[in-house]
Amino acid sequence: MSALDVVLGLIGFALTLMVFSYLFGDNFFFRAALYLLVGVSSGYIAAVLISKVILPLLIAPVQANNGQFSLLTVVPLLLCLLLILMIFPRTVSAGKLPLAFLVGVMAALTIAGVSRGTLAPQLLSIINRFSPSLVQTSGQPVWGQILEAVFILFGVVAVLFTFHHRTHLKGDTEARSGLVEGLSSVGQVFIGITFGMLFVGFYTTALTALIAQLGTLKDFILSLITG
Amino acid sequence: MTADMIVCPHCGKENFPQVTRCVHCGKELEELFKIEGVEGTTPMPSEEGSELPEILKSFREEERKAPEPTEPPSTTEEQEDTPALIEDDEQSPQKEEPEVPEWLARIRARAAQETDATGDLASRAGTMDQVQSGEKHAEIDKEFTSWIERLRESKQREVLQSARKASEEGENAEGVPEWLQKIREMHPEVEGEETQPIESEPSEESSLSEGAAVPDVHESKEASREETQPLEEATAPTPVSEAAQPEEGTLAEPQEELTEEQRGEQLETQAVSETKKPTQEPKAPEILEPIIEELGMQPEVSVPPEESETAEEQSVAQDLLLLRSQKERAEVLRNLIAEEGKAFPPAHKPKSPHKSWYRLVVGLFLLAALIGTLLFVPPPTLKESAAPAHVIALQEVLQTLGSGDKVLVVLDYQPATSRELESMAAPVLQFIAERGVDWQLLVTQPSGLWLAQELASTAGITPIPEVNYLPGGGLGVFALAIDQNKSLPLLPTSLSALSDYRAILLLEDSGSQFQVWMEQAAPWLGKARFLVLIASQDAAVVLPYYDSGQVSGYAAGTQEGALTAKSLGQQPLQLPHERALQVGLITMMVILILAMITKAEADASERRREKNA
Repeated sequence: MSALDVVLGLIGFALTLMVFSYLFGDNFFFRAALYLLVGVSSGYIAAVLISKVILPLLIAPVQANNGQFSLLTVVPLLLCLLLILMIFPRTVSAGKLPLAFLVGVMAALTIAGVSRGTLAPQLLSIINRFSPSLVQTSGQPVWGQILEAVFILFGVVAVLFTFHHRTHLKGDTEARSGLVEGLSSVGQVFIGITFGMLFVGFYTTALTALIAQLGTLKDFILSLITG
Repeated sequence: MTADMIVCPHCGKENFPQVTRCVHCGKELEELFKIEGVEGTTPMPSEEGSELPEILKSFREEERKAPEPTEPPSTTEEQEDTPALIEDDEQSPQKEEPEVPEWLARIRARAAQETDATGDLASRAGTMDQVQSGEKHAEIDKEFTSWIERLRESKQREVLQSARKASEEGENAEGVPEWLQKIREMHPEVEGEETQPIESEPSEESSLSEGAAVPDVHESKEASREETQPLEEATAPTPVSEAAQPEEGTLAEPQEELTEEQRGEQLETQAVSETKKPTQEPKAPEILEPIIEELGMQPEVSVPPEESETAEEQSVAQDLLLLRSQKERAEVLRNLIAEEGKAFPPAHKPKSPHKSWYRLVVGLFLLAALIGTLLFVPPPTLKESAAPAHVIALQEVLQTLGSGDKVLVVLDYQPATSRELESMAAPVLQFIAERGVDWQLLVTQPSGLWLAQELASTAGITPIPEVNYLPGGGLGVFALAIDQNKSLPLLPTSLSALSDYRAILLLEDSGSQFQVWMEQAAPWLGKARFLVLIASQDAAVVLPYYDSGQVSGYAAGTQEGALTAKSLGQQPLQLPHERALQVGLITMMVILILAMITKAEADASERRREKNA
């Protein structure tokens, strides 16, 4: 193990302990580790953006046109300048133009993407589960496949009814019908299962990272001891 | 009672004579209000209408006799025709303005400032808002002014009702003159303050009775001061009120006719008032001055009988309470305007000392369990188990790749999950490198630049291929997907069009980023092109896309990554300690179950407590 590895390992060990000190509450060591992380990350990201984005994609196209002025290369530069003007209170409104352009494009792309990339394919997937080629084999129904398809359809419908808020008058008060209420309750069960699985996934990932870090520290300490 | 009613010229409905605004249509009745009770155009009450002109005449007599050098010599006409006199007097302020005494000018200036005080407060409080949105602030001022007016009107009605009730209970018997009742009915807000003008207008005709009445005035002043003490303490003295102080010195002139004792008492009272209540004195003249102008008389110097002092003090207290209420509301409004646009401070919740102890105990317990497992329990070997369908699908697609096929490997994960992703991706990269696949690296996050090098070195691939950075997030992915002809100069030049790649291998630790690729790129590329290695936290997100055929195959988590590596004939990398993973999961399950039991018990205890209560 080289000296650099020892130094880096000691720094990593110290930072790990500083983060673990949050178990005793918010304290100086935890905040110092946090600020170090934020500062280093911000500096690294700024350096990458300057070298990989601003210089090659914003400045270079304006220069590398063989002396010919290209209006297209000036547009992003102009939008960036308008964004910079948002620093000053008097010219904040100038930055609204590039922001509006950005938000509008993002909204349009998101709507189109969700409908084309998520909603339509997955609804078709549910429908395709009832295709004859899947639910029967040589003319005989495959009950397992049918049951699975019905169950998935039922889950989708129940979850959709969970977000159905239309009410009607029932006596003097407004209330949802019994069918909607029942389906909504079933849908909540499906949503709960989904959230439970997401929680397990997050916890497993965090635990994996923690175990890996502890294993690294164990190996480092053992290597120090054994030389 | 119906004889007192006045008819609104706008809507034609009847109103009480004291109101300044029609209760039906809401329009101003000020002109009617002024005429009523003075000119006699509206039928007056039978018992009062006959006496008022005589009183006014007596006032005119006093006014004529008074040695007022600045007063215009028009008293003859006034004596001949009282309504005409009043009309003249209504127009006279503009004519006589240069001849108004200094004390009256100060009082008028003070009155004008006091009238604007509430609006001024609101307008000054929102200076920033005024700059940013002048129209909005003007609307706020207008609404506030109308709100204050409504308050005053309602207060007038209340005081009027109480005054009528008091008069019915025999105020006449207490010696209150009819003219005073008329004034009270017309301007109920000045009840109890009619004795204040004694300071404001000198009169040599002040009789012995006036001089005898001066101590009563002081008594009423002192009483009103005592009642308004909290108000004066609550509101800091304004420069206007401080400027009004010197007028009291000038107002001492009419007391030349008083005896030495009375003068001394007055001086003492004024001294006390200067030290205690700098803003109190001008209020009565300020309110009575318009009435004096309306009636065309000199300020009243006579003092009502002592029996009426209690009622007057109550009236003064009501007026001061109204004023204090208005000022307090103006203060609240000013604070609200000042706080507009500011973020609310976070609600202060006292930290429970138990929570940090729970966190410490649980955290230390989990750490101790994991460290103990890592130190004392050997890692198990990988079990031979059946791979899930999506892992088998991934393996089948990878095995179809051969020499000459182009594969794009997209690194889209954070350093925190790099251990998990590297253990999954390194065997796959080794496999496609051995198969002679032409593969390229693309990262969408700045940290991916060095994570790609880490991954390549972990997989033992040399030389490390060029790493391409795609900025722009979702927009960059969309641009890359639609740029089939490589016409966009802003995209990485070493990359081919996405449609040229046989497969796109996504290394993801974020469900939302994975969805970006599915929603912005997949619709343009068709199916059966995406392979996914994803952290276990987002396994649930990928499953529907696999079911719909948008993803050809995927593996989630280190276990499935190891199964994929084995199915590809590669040696899985050293996995995180599986026993430690199991211990951590069991620990969390135990903690969750204990938390649920504790919460249920706490809820049951709470319900029992509420039931008993």
